[in-house]
Amino acid sequence: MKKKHLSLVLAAAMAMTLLGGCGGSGDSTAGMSEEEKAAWEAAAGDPYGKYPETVTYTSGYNLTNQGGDTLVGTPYENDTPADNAYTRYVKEIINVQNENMFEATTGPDYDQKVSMAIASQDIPDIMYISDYATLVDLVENDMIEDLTDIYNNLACDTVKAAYDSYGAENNPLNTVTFDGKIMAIPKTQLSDGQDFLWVRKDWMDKLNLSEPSTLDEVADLLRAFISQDPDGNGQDDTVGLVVHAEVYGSYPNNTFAIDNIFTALGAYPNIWIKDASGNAVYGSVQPEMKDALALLRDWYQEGLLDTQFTTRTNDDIVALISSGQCGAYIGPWWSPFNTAQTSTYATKDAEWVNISAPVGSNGKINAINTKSYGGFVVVKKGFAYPEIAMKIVNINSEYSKQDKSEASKEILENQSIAYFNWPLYCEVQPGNNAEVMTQHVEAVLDGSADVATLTTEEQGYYEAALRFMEAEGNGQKADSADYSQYMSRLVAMKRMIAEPADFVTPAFFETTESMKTKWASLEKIEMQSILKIIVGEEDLSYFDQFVADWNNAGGEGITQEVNDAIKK
Amino acid sequence: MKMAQNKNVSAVKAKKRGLTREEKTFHLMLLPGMIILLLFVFVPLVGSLMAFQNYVPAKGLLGSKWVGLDNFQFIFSLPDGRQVFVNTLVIAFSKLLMNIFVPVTFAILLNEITVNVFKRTFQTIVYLPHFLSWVVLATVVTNMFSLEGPFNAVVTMFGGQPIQFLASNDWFRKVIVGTDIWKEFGYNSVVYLAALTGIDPGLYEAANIDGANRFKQIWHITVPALLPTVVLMTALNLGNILNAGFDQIFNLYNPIVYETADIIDTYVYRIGMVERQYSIGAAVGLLKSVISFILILSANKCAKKATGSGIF
Repeated sequence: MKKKHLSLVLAAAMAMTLLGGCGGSGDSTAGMSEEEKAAWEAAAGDPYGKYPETVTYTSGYNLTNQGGDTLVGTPYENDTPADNAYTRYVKEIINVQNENMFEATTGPDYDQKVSMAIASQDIPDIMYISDYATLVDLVENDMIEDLTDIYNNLACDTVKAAYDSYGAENNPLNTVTFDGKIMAIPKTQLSDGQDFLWVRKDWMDKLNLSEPSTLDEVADLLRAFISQDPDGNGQDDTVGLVVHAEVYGSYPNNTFAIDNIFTALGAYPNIWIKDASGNAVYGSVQPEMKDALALLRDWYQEGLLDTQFTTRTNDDIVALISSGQCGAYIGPWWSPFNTAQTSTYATKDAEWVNISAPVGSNGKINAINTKSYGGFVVVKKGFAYPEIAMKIVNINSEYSKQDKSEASKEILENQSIAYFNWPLYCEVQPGNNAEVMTQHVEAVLDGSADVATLTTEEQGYYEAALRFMEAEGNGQKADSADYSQYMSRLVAMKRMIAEPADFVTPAFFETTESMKTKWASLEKIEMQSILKIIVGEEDLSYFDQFVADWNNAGGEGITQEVNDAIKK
Repeated sequence: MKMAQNKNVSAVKAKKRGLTREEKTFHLMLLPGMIILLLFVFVPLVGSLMAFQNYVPAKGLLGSKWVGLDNFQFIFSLPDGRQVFVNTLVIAFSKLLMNIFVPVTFAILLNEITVNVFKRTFQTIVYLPHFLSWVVLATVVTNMFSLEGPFNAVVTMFGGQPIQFLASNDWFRKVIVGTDIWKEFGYNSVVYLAALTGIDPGLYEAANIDGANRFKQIWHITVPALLPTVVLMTALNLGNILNAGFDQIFNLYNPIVYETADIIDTYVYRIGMVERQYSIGAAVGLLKSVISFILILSANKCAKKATGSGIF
């Protein structure tokens, strides 16, 4: 008996979904009057065109870990991923409704659902995917729509300008273009800027040193730091520049990595770069590396580099700086968030300053661009309304930001509680968004703009800056969170804007097939050789041996694969 | 013969009768252990199938493609395979030897102490490091062996040049084995101390009367009495010969000492987890298990031949 009931319910449910599906797909223009047809076509051809009837599309939904629970006790308690402030907002503007085939937390959970959907050949009409390999898979299996015309005709100006802001070489659209066709809408990833030399200004003042710029000047500064007792405790206990155990890589995200010293000499380790003839080559095995290694060997010998860096963990390095034994490191603009700085600010009266050094022959820091894309929105092959994807991205990136209506305020408020309620996890922002925010806050601070012009996020930075300045004005130490915000968002960022770096864009960011199995061995060869040369356990000429070993162990084949992948 | 038959009959009767109350309680007490064994030992065995597949998590064990022995072929073709294998054996074998020699010596020495308070205090102190994880101890070890650490203080006191122990291919393995012994010898000596209490005191008295001194007593009574335990422990530990201590080395090594420190587990970790090659990780795991299994079996056979007693 019970079984019968269950099957009836199931059958009904299936029928419902089938009917629901019909509402969205199929030949929807059949049996319509000319007028209706025109209305549908007009809606499809406008960046924010509203459909005459609600169009339902299936999708994958990115939950964030701040999801459901935070809504309890708020007006949005009953919101769901298919019906919340933002989905209602989108429905209001263009009259579309998401129906989620799967919902999962952004990250491995969500990615796994995507993999499963692809493996079972049943992907949602529109979905966000996080990695490039999946995109290639979808393109090669002909599972997704060509979005070239849709992008060209429907992308709003903000989106187009944002993509262009990354420059021709690093334009996110390059990545999604296969045989000249745009196959996905890339989500942008903000530029992380360049690394700086962070130095204890109080030490510099004490030893009467001026700001270094070239490699030689940096060496002089470090020499003074290790020999002239900058902390004034009468002991020879200060170390030189601290170095990340991996030396370089993940530019600029590995605080303490010393990529800048390599790039100042024209070497670009750990990334794929284009050589003179336009082929992709691996930076770590290029002849320029030899110059950089020669310099670093000397520095290590002299103690300008921390002589024990090979055995130090990141925590050890932080402890070294926190205890006032080290006054120089290389790190990104958000370094003031690192305990190394907050603790020395609070307990040692340290004053940190970010300096554009060491510079290359062009007088600027040579920096490496980060990936400009952080995932893609794709549309299932054969979906009747592929333009919906572009329209929602338009709303995410432009409409909702410029709209000052009640509804827009509501979603902002909702977003601050639920953090994330977009039906489609994709916003397109200009690469220099962080700089732009700083400029907005600065304008308010110097009185040339009103507080009301700031976004919620910017307002947070503004208030932190006010609190920091007030505390310092009273001769007190500011809260460490305020210190971090002020120092990075205003002090460091100001320099980043005023002293732009020369950026090199890696020729290839992704992994190839044989990298999956061979990269660990190659990395082992690389790290082992580079470290041994720096600490003097091997001669500089060992570098040639390393290059040969690297090529023989599969590096040559992978280089070929990378070049093939670029020419897709 | 009749007795045996009777026994059988009573066994059959017992079966029919069902378990007694007491037996039921014992079985119940056994249950949690059996469940854990089933869940964490037998069920995961199914995962070994991964070693013969090109495993893709989304497709699962049933959906992934079978590739035969490709993964094993890949392991043997790795350029560093030999170096990694040798490192593992050298480190594990040194640890195996030292982990017998030091605890046995310690147990014998401790046994000679007659003041009970000292004995207990010593035992507790040397027992302690066993309970600390390598993640914590790695920081301690790094500091002890750093340029400013106590070991280099001794080196410079005698006029030597300070040594970066953990960044030196001459020293790294010695430090690894030494610190491992330091951490575990207290715990390992417990078994031997237990064996020592089982020695008949009459033997010592007799030896004493015969004029044997302390050393002779140890050599002719204590050591032979401990031998079966030593053989047993060695046989058991041989199964671990391919586990050179992942947590310890992973937390202490760095690329400079790869050539002496990189062991199978750390290498597979970098390939398998960091590059997400599950099948290759599983293949190495299976290979290690098979080798360990063979080693344990043969060690047991040797032990039986040599001392007349084995594990099974």
